[in-house]
This record gives sequence, structure tokens and C-alpha cells, in this order.
Amino acid sequence: MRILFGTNPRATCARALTIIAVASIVLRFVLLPVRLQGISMLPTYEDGEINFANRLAYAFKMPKRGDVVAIRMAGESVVYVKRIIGLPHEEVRFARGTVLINGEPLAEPTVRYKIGWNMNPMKLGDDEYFMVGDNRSMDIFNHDFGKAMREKIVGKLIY
Amino acid sequence: MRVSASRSVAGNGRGSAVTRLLIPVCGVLLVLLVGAWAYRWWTGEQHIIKERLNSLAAILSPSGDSEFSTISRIGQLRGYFAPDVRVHIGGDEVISRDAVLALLAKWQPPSKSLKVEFVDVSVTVEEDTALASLTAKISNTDASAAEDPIADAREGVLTLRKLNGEWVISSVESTDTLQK
Repeated sequence: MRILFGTNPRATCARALTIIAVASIVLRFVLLPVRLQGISMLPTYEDGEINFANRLAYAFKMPKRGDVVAIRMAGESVVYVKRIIGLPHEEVRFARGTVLINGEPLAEPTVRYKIGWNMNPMKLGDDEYFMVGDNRSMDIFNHDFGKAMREKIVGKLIY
Repeated sequence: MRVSASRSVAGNGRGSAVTRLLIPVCGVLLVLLVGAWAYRWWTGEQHIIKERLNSLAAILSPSGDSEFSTISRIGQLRGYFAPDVRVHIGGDEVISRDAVLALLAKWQPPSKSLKVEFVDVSVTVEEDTALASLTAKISNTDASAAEDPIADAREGVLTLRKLNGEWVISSVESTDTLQK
């Protein structure tokens, strides 16, 4: 008991409660823990990696191209982790594996493996972002990507 | 100084008597409030629907069962769907309970140990109908399998209605989180 509670059990309990309260607040309102599954973000993120999405990343600024973000489904128990490549009002297209934004090729230093994906142009509306994983060596039909509203973005991965 | 001290003591005595009375009264009121809230929550339609969806998920989860238990599971599912249920998933539409059950009976799961769960369930009840938005998550529970723990996840909206006193699903609409 002495080891657990120290010489002042009341102070130890207060410290423990404070730590629990702070951790709960941080995990509820600031950071969303994410365990990555699958290969769609290779080589940037390996299967099974742990990361955190910063919920406050876009509190005062808008998401930008290149950000890796967590995108929620009905809630936040299951999220997608993808990279933003298209911003509102832009036109996104895949042509033989190259991303074209408004017809201009996009430099993607984080994409190392790619095959000839093709996708018809998609025009993004207000508050719509286009997200895709870094692993373009997968079959396009096995890779979840596409547009989502800004409200679906939970936060930006912190590393 | 002494007088004021004695007055102060007398005041404390009255205060502590009131406090002694107030603490149990407040405690009883708090217990009653929590009890009433718990009762309303437990017997509320939202909780009933969530519990029903949990049991549906359990029945939908194959666990390496035999042909007989598969038939039994499919039979149980009949009570969860309206006869005219409409299921719209990924561009395909199935109408009628019999067609849905036939599809489920034919379904060959990729692994023998899959767990179906409905997470992030949010229920809105209006009279005899209800809307449930949720994420359906299918996890691979076979530890020896090399596949990802989460085999698939999709968000969707279920419409439910009361049929003979039980909530049944009258439509299933899956939505793509990322739209192509």
C-alpha cells in the first residue's frame, strides 16, 4: 500500500484523479488515438502503427493539400486515414497514375509506388476535400478514396 | 472577543444542524434523480433499439458454425426485418425480406470467425418509426488469420418501424464516406 499510495495517500489520489481528468479531457477534445490498419498509406504509415489526430488542427485554419487527416464515418470509432490532395472548387483527376489538379500535374513526393490509375475529372464543391492514400500500387478498386465534406475531417495526424 | 466567539460557535451549531439535515435530503434527491434517469434510459425506445441492433449484430456474426446453425441464424433474422424491407448497399438494391435472407444464407464469409458490430449508433425516434445512423464494422476474430483485424467498415442509415410491438428494419441505406 505504501508503494502504491506513498506517504500521503490523499495527495496521491488527488494527483491520480488530476491525471485521469486531464487525460480524459485531452483524449476527448484534443487528440484522437488512431491505430492504422491496412496498406493504403504505405510507405508513409505501416500497418499497425499508432498515431493521434489533432482535433484542434483546423480550429483556426483550413485543411491544406498534403495534410494527412482522420476522416470519421458515422462516429469516431472507425476512421479513415488519408492524404488531402484536392481542395474546394478544384477539379481532381487521375491520368495514368498522375494526379491532375485543374489539369496540372501534382507533385507527390510521399507517393513512391504507383500504377496507372485513371479516374474521370471530379469537381469539388464548397467545403469538399479529395482524399486518397499514398499507396497507389494497389488496384484502384481496392483503395478507398474520394471526396468528403470538411465536417467529416476529425483532425490532422500529428506525425 | 469571547462574546463574539460564543456567538460564532452558536451560529456554527445551527449551521451544522441544517447541514446535517440537508446532506441526506440532497443525497436521497440525487439518488431519486439518477434512478429516474436510469429508468427512463433503460426503458426508452432508443435503448431498446440499440439493444435490438446489438442482438442483430450477434446473429449476423458467423463463428465457424455448422450448416444447421447457419439455418437457425437465418431463421432468427426473419424477426428483425420488415417483409417489405429495402436494402441499398453500394449501388445494389434488394427488396423484400425473403430476398435479403436468401442472400445472407448464400453468403460465404471470407473467414470463419467474423464479428459484426454496429458502432457509433445514433437513434432518433418519431412515433412508430425510427432512424438509426451507425457504422457497421466487420472484424476478423480469427487470431491465426493474417488478415487485418477490421475486414470492412461502412456507415449507413437504418429506418425502423414497429411491427407487432417489435422494432423491425424497413430500410437499409449504406453511404460512402469517401465518394468517388
